[in-house]
Amino acid sequence: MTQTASDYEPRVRPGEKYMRCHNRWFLGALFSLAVANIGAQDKAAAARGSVAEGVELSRRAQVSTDIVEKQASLQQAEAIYTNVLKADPKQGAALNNLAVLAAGKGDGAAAQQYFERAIASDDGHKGLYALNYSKYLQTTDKPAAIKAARVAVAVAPDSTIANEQLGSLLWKTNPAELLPLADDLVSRGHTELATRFALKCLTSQTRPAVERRAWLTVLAVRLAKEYGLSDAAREAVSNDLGKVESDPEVGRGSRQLRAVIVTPPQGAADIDWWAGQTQPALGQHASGRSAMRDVLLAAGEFSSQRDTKRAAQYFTAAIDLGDKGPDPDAFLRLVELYASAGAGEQLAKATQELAALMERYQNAMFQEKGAAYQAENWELIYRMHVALGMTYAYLKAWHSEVPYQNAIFQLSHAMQAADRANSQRRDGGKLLALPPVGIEKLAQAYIATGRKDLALRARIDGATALMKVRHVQDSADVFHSIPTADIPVLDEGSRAKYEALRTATLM
Amino acid sequence: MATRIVMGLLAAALALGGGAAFAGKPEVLVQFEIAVPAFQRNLPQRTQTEQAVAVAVAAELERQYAFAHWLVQAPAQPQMQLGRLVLRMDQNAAMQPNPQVFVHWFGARAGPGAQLADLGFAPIEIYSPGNPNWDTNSAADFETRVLSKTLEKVRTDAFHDEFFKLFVARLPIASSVVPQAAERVIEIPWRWNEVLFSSDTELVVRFDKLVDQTKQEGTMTLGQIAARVGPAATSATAAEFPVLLRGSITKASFDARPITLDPQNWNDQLLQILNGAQAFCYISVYKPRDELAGDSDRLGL
Repeated sequence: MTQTASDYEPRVRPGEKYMRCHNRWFLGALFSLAVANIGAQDKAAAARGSVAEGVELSRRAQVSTDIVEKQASLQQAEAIYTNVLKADPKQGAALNNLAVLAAGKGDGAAAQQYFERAIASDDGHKGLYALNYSKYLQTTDKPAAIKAARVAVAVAPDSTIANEQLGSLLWKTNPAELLPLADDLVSRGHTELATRFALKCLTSQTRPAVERRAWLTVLAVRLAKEYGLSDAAREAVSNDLGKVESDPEVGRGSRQLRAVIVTPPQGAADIDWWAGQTQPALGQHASGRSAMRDVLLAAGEFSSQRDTKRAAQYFTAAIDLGDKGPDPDAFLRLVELYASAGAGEQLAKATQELAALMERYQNAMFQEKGAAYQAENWELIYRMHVALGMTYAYLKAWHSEVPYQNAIFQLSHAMQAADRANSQRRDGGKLLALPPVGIEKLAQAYIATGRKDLALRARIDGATALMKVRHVQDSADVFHSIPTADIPVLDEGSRAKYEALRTATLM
Repeated sequence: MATRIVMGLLAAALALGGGAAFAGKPEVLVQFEIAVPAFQRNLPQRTQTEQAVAVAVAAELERQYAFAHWLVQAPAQPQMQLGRLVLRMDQNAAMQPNPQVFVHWFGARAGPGAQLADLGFAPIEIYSPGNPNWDTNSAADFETRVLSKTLEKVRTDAFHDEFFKLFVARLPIASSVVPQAAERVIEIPWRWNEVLFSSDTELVVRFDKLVDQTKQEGTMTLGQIAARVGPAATSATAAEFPVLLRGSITKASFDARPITLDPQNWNDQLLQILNGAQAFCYISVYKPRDELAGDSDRLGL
């Protein structure tokens, strides 16, 4: 084949097929000639075009069954990449491709050198180069292969290929290190890959018991994240759990987790395997106990939209899986669920449920609140006072023999706790104030105990607090609920607040 | 709305020259609406907040479904728009005094008369029933709350599967396809490098035509999705359309009868069958291109 440079010159542009020649030296000269006549930007474009053509040749070689043609294509590709590097020694794609070709030829020293130069080129494709390097090293130097795979995952954390490569290497070398990788994947929503890793370890009898229990926790964390999303998601986890149900170490935990997908636990025995997993294992974020609690909360949240009785059962089970005593989040969710029971018969039943709930948990909940006081966690203290106060209000427990077992104590302390929380607020923290429904309950409580004056003050203080945290409309709503006939009896301080509110609501 | 399938190479060249291939990605409009009266009334900077939530959700969806741009403004070129997604924050008023507040998902394909429909997703709870502490006073707190609750779900594989099934798979990504008989492929008028499919993605083309005044329907499943420029392409067409989306037919039927394919995934009767048909192309199996998969410049091992 006889061709001249002028036949090719106009075609030295990215993406075009300009080459049908088998003479590598001729091609090199052609590339040099082309880049000598163009500017810097065009040089980069010409290099990219050449590299792309080299890739095309390499791929053609891969599929060719003709050995002569295969060799010729590879030689042409190599010549192209080499000449690109003469113009730009840091051209990452050419370095990577030369490394791949060197690996194919079994030239380990060249492959290593080119891969390392490609990674160092930092041209925005470091992850791909590191992944290739890891694959190249995986049979000869596993620790180095893992290191390269970790670079690829760090650069491209969402890449399935990179995470699979790292996971596969860890499984072959130190499977215990696979667990933090899966934990991280689940926390970022890559639940399918994490589950694949989990099942690999769970179905392998070679892994120690503590590790396999931790892998079951990974599946519980996944379930908590995806429970409410779809039937398919719940079925997928259920099917996966079914694969390890007969396992002597984790089978019982698997059966219990699988059961709660469909049915709320009826007693402590239904989730006792999980209740016993109190400590996070092997550097995991979650203990088995907290993972099951999150599953129950997610199931309760999902059920609350359609079946409040079922939701209540899930929340009740979650309360008993607190880290220390009853879990405050689960308790709040259950109180809030009862507190939104509407009216009539439903409300009467909810009131009974609330009474039973308070009977069972109030001592422990007060202890929990006591611990929050010691730690000065005012946001938690506020939430606990609101939940307890609203509960007592729905029970119409306006006063009590024990000073704190009534709505007035809890709701008035909630207002104080919100104030303290706001004064200690850090950047990003929320401003708190008792909402209008809470203020109204507190006012009702005072009226029911014959203290209209305090009811009036509660409304003014509540509206003022709402105004301070910029709940302007809520503040105005509370302000307008104040009976004007009562204004003359106000003390001086409250009157000043009232006037300030009046001015603010007029603005 | 559907355009005719264009026949043969010559006709294909005409169709492409006529602008059948789109520059840029297809687009999906994303909106967030507040329908809870207390928030409509009280939330400061409501419109900006709705926009900010939509922007964040759109960014996350674009990360997962990179074949399209997920935008909060309607595209300048309406033909680029595939559909509309609306996240509506509503309340369950039956739960008093503090109703449950949740986000519901609605969607519609693009086109005149397309109605928003509930996608059938389980609602995402923002405030539990009975929780009185609503962030009606602060746009920042509200945005943080809505996004933390929503994105926690959106960033899971289960969501991706469900969202694909309930929304993405129902959007026609093209209303014209071009059979390339010489190369035994079906061409879709989107650029390969922009839609970022992996070759494991599958597309389905649903078409119909009138035969003796009777509407007959057919489907083609396309696999081996790849960037391909056939050897028959002239340098001019190759430069202009270097990497259109193309797939091989892996399964086909017409008028309830299967179409037998040869080893090159083709049947010479296809051109005749497709002649005059109206077609829509959908994604049936979505596999995004891994960011570390090799590309046209870089070999993989």
